[in-house]
Amino acid sequence: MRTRSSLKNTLTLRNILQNPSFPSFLILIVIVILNASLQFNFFTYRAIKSNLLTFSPLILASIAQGLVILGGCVDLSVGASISLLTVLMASMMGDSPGSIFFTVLCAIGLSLLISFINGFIISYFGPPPLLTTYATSVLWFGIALYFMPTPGGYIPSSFGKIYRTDLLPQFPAAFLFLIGAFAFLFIISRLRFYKHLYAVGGNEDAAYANGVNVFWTKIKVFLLSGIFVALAAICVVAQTATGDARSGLGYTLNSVAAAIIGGLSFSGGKGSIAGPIMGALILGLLINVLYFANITSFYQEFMKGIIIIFSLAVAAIPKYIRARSAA
Amino acid sequence: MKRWFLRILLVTLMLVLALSFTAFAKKGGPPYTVGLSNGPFTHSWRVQMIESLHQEFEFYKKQGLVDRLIIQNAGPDVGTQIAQIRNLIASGVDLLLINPNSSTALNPVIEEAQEAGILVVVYDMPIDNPKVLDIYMNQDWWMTPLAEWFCKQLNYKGNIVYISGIADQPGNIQRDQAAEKVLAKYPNIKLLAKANGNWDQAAAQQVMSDLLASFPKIDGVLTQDGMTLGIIRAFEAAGRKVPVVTGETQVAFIKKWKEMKDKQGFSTFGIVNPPGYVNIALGVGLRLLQGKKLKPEVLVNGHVIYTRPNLIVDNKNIDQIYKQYKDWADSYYVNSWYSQKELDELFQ
Repeated sequence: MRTRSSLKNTLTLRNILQNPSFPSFLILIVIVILNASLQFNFFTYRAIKSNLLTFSPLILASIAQGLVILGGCVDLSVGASISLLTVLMASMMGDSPGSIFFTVLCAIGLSLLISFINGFIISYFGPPPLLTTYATSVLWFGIALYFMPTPGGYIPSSFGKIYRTDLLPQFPAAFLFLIGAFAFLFIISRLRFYKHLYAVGGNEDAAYANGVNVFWTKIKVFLLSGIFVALAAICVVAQTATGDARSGLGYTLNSVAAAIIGGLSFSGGKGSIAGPIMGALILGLLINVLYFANITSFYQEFMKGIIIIFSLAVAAIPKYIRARSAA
Repeated sequence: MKRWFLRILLVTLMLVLALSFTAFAKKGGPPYTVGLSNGPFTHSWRVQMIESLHQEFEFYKKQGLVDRLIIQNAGPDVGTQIAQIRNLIASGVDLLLINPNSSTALNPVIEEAQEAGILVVVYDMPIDNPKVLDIYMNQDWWMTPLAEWFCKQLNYKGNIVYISGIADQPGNIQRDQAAEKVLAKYPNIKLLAKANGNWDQAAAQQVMSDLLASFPKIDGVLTQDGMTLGIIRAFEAAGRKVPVVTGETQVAFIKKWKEMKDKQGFSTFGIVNPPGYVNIALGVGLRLLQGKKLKPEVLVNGHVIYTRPNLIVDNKNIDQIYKQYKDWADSYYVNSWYSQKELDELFQ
């Protein structure tokens, strides 16, 4: 478990270099500079808005994934849950503000139920999270396909418009949505639960021995991630105005990639939740950089792989230094 | 430490938000910039589609009508396609061609493009939006001549099987309906079984082998697009005589067709499903940008233009087609698209 340290200690060069999120921070800066130099209007309101609208679902899905990974698990059902939620929303939503509000509440409720099932199975029966969530992902995808075999349903166009039109001058609702999500995350990160999360992720037995309720911590982290999955699904629906059993599938592996690029480790308990956020931004900006550099979109997956390997390699450097200085 | 990063991230975000400027102006008049947003790029049909587009683009470029072509392949993911369309909007394209990954999910981002003053033309797939021009093959016009040829070859009688494409694919459903309509006209033709070969040679060969084991007498095999070669191989592997079978126009089969025609007088009939039809979308889009008006009778439901196949391969022209394509890779398709004259005929 991390202990509170003074600002002076925190800001030493060695600490910064050893922070698991440092490589992703570096990559993010490089990629922002690259993008800005290639896209002449990168810092205009229009471009920023368009970028944030595009990135928000992945940012939110990556937070959901990041929380679970911090707790020492992984959630391969993120994408299928998003799909199922878009299907739910597209089959319920009507034109009235009341029905929109009610539908969004139902979506959050369903997401909580889904994540509770994931969390409960993993916590109570103790199977590997990878297998459990893979199995449940097939289940959620199947349910979504059953209710909506072909994309469809109805989302009022006002719903998408609210998301992208400006509330105040140059301030669309999507920003408020993201800022709200960050604020919520910030509050969570101050709670004792968050320390328990690191403890459980780092070493379950030690956490248990120190009086942490491992069972509930795991369920709670899944529930928390469920909220962010629901938020991601709301963004997807606002952007696509449709229910589609396949619309979420891409988010599973991309959110895992974002978390890894962001310096989280599969063994859990390491890194910070800012990592997946930066990872999601990097993945999103990567598409732009390739686009504006006139590199064919063919190389997108390839570049994604290179960046993941690079961040894994950089993350290994501190370990290497420590091993050298110990010898 | 994590807070330190969170703080930096928030500050960066705020800075980025604060640095906001006005929108950029769009130019009018030629030369136009054209963007293409494509889905998967893993199939040779799509590769050939892009090659055809480049070829036709050079033609318009020489006329000074266009300057730049930006092509984006999103893979099967809708989210990536939305991101790429937003980038194309940001580059200020005048004409945006889309081969959509979803018939509904792109509607909001298409609206964004239209709000930015971009002409959007969707092609190859149906899209669920009456405000977007949509150009695709009428599968009824494609399948009916094929089925009619087949029934005529059988003298309107006999036992047949139908190897269809991918079961739930919208285009395939329309083809199935067209085939059923034709078969219903001839009661002496008996459909023994229908199976799905997924538009894949190997899969078609597999299902055909299974059917051959179950039915001792098959007079004809009705099939469509990319599967005939597999079906013929199944017959050859079973040591049975190849019956009446409908053809296709993938280069691998064109080669086999020519060989079988020369050796044993084999005859069949194939309708192209041309990758080059992307150029119909390009041609129509550019004409609309120049202010030309479509003939009202061309538009179905106010926003759809049905294309018709414009090249048929049969034993009359197989020698010439073979000569033209014999050096091409097996996975390519016989290609064609509307001429400038055919495109002009769509307009007033």
